Amino acid sequence: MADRASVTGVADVADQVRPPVASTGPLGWVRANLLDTWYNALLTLGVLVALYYLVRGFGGWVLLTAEWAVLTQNLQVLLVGQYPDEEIWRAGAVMLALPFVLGLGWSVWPGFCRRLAISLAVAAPLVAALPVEFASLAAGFRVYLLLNTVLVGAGWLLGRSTVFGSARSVLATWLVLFLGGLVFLRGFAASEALPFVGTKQWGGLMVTLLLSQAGIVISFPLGILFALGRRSSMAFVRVACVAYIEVLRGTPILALLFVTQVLLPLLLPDWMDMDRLTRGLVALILNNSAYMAENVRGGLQSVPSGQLEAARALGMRVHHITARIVLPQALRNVLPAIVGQFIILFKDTAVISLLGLLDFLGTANAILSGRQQWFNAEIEMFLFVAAVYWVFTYAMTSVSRAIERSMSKGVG
Amino acid sequence: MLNTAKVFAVALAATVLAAMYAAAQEDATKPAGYGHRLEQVRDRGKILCADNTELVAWSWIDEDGKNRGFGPDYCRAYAAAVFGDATDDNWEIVNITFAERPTVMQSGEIDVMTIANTWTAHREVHWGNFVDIVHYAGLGVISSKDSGIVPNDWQTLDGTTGCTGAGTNYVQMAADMESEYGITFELALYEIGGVRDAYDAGRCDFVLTGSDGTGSFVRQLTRSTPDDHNIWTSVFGKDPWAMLVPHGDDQWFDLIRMVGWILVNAEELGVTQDNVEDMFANSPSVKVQRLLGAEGTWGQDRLQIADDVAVNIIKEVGNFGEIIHRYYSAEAEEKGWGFYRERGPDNLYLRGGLMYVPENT
Amino acid sequence: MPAPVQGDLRSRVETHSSVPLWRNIYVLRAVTQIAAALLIVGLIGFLLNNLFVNAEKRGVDLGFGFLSLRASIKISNAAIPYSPDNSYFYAFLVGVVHTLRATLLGIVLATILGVLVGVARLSHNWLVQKIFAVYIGAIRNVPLIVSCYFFYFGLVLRMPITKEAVHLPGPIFLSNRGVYTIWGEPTASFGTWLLIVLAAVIAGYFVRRALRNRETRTGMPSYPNLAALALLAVGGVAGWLALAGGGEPPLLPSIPVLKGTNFRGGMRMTPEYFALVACLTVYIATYIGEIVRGAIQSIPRGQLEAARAVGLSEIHVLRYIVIPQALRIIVPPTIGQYINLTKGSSLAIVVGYADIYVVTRNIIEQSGSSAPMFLLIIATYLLIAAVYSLIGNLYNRSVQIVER
Repeated sequence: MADRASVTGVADVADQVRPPVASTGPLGWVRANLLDTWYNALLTLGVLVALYYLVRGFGGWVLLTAEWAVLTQNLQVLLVGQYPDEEIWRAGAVMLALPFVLGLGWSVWPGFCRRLAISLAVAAPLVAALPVEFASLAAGFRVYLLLNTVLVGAGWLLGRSTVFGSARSVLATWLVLFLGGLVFLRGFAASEALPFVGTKQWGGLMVTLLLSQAGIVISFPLGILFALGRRSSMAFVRVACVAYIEVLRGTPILALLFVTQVLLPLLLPDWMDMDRLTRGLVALILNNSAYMAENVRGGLQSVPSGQLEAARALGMRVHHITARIVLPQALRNVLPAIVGQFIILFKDTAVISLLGLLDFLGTANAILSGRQQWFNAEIEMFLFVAAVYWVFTYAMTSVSRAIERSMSKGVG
Repeated sequence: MLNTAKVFAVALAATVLAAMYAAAQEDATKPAGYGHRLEQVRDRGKILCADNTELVAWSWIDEDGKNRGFGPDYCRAYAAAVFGDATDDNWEIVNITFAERPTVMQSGEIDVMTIANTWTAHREVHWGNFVDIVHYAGLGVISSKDSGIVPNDWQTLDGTTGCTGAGTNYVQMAADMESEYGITFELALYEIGGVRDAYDAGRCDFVLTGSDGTGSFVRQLTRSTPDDHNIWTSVFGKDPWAMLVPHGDDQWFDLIRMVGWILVNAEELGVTQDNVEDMFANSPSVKVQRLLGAEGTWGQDRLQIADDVAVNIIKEVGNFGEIIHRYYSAEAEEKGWGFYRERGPDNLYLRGGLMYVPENT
Repeated sequence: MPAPVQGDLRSRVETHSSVPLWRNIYVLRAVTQIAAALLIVGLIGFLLNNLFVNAEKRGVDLGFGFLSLRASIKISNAAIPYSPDNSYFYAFLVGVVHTLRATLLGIVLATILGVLVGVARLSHNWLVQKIFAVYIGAIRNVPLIVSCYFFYFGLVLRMPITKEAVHLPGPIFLSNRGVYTIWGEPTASFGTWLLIVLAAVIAGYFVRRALRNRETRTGMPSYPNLAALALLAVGGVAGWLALAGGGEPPLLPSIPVLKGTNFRGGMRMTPEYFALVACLTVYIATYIGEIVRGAIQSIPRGQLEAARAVGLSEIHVLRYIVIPQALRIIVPPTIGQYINLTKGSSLAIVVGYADIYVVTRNIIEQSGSSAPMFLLIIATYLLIAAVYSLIGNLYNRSVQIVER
């Protein structure tokens, strides 16, 4: 055997044994991930062909066929609805709270918010530079978009260099700016500087964002309450909480919206009348707090009972145990689920358009139906609407995913 | 502590009692049947009109976010009657869906419904008081020519597909139509905007709609492709449209009704938006002077509105004919504000129509 | 120093026994509970009282009596026989049936698509993996209602009109009036044939059992499933041929034919039904896909390697190792998604499908009775969700790992 090997010689071996297939470098990557078996190669080819036609068709449509005037002409209505022209600066100012808080968040939780904040800061000037006419919004709108970038930066700097840079103060700032913003938007009946603007004139994307924020602010604490109630040792409280949670989780949001829109005025005395937007908010809160309660309950269950016993042994009072020991751990454990619930709430707000409320989707529908020139612009409009919802949801999802990652790493 | 609480409770009880007493006093001085709607509107500083903003010509939102259309014009007229003029702040269109109408009326949260409302006995009893008819429609049909449906021949609808608005009384009228003519057809239901899209796409062969008005959006299609559609002249049943106020307040009902009369009488007397000031100052006609309130009142004092309420209204929106012209004329079509149609029964009785209202004297 | 400690203890016990009433934990709890009960009962009473007072004041009828009145509304393409002469309640039932029909089909399709998505996300093919990631990212981050609008008005309504319908072999016709396919029209002998098939099914069941027993007893491969299927096929075909020979076959083909602008005959799926099921399926499948992916990934690699090492084929690895374990993880959250799908089906109004909500709105428009109708709607949805939860719980119990 040894003889034969030596006889065949090195050159022959080189002929028989081909060099190993490249497993590194771009070629190797392609081979390993796209062409490793014959059916995978076929699949790759098929997908590539389909992709080519899809991109060509869609791209051609976007650039050549589509009529985007429906968006640029109606941009103001899409953003703030029927908010009066002279007062529109108020709506703009209130909406600027979001980039500012995002900037603050960036300084406090760089791991979660940095990418988002930078994306916004970069995207805003890019949109401002788009070569389209913004109709009634004119040049001011471009400046406004740039302000977004400025405020992200301002928030970041403020957070880094002052006392604002703590988790607590970010949340407090957001809450104060949001609630203050509501008052600011509404104005006062007697005021010259800030005349009253009722919620019936609020609309567009602004309403969608305000509704989601209000839903979060109210349904989060409610959810915690119901979750605690569901685990209460007092039978009556427990049963009531279970009934609330199960009934409201099982009812479609649309049915709930109709109930609050139509039956709430019957269920409340005359002096407690709410406007239509608030009634829509009530439905969102009812539904969302029930889901939130279930999420929080999951967190409560994840807190080891040893913690409770230890706290009790130390002589802590019941409410202190709940507030200082149980809840912080429970909420941290289910933070991704809670953020996920916020996302669902944000998406659910779109359903209120079916009750004739002019949120973002409702405004879009009203524009499509109102004038003949927009009758055939549904695809453009719905793509835009979908894209805007997508951007916000994707932003929240990316934050949620960053939180999840840091938790699995044990940083949380 | 306890004392403070006691004092507070007593004070509260006293206030409530005083308020109740005051309310009772006030009620006692009111004419029978009068309610508080007018005061509520004045306190609020704003009149709330319910409408659906998805109908070209009748009601829509323009690029500046303003409500426009036949319904909003009536709302402006009411605002002018109550407040003297219509500003951006004293009238408001509350956007509702058609299916919400009964519950919105029952809740009493809005002052007047200017939505395209078919008047029926059931609705009069259950929803509220309808005022006067502003438009005489019937259940009309617009059919596409390729469908093989013969215009005005109900039998040819058999086996075809129609579209109409969800939550409207056309759903019931369609069932009646089927049993009356012994036909069956498929009926697809949408929100108003969807009806037009579905018909345009060929999902249905015909549209069931008010013989115009709600049909306005389909008319828009028939304008761009006029040769593809038949607009029937026959109508099924009666479909009278009227404004609507909540039950139980005669003062408010009368006020809303008088605004409608003023608009029609003004057209009859030739009082227009442009000449109303001039007419008020110079017209020798006794009838004109009475309408415009120069000759004392026909009851403005009882309705707590200005004597020259008609001047305010006409200055704001013009007369009935002008409103119709604003949204149902060739000019309206050009502006994209509406469409052209013949004035039929909603013309003045003097010109062969049915608009015949009592005098404002 | 034992004595002081004892004294200390005793004094403590004594203090405990003489806890004042307002600090006694039992009294406190009882008081809290009564207060909570009063609060809740009071709130409900307050709301109900308002309801009755306001209803009386505004002339709103709160009774259920209207349900037996003539509905007089038109519901097209009803899944069960319906005419406007039926009662309101029956019209409501039609809506319920429509909701069930759409959600059940949606559940089946979403499950299939979801499993496909979950598996594709784990594909070795990078391109496939990414494309499905993009699909999930695109659909999940957009509200369902927006997707439904887009599906119906952007895609389904833009399919060709009936005259230019896409003609697929079968024949299947695709147009914006729906999907028409060939279908069997039952004849007089259809019932007899069904009985024959039923008999074959029963016989097949027993044959399968017998062969299976034999297989386990003797170890000889006896193909129980194959035999049972063969029996069913033979029974079905033989019965068909016999009946066809004796007069008419149990089913006559009904082929859709274009007449005017609509097809006649055949089986039809309306575009509204199609669009609703499609948008629900595409949306919920992204969630099921992620559940499936997570479940498959949760199975330790070692198990797969071990299974392959003992010589199981890939199919057997799936059948005996992966699926049983993955299912245990998949089922509970998937039941939750089924309930979400059911609730999402209330968006039928967007695409013009006459579900429970649409029918209810038409009923309210006619009758003016909104409160009773919404009580009915909520009860129906809760009932459906409860049934799904029950099925899920039963399943969970049956697959629970039995601890020995």
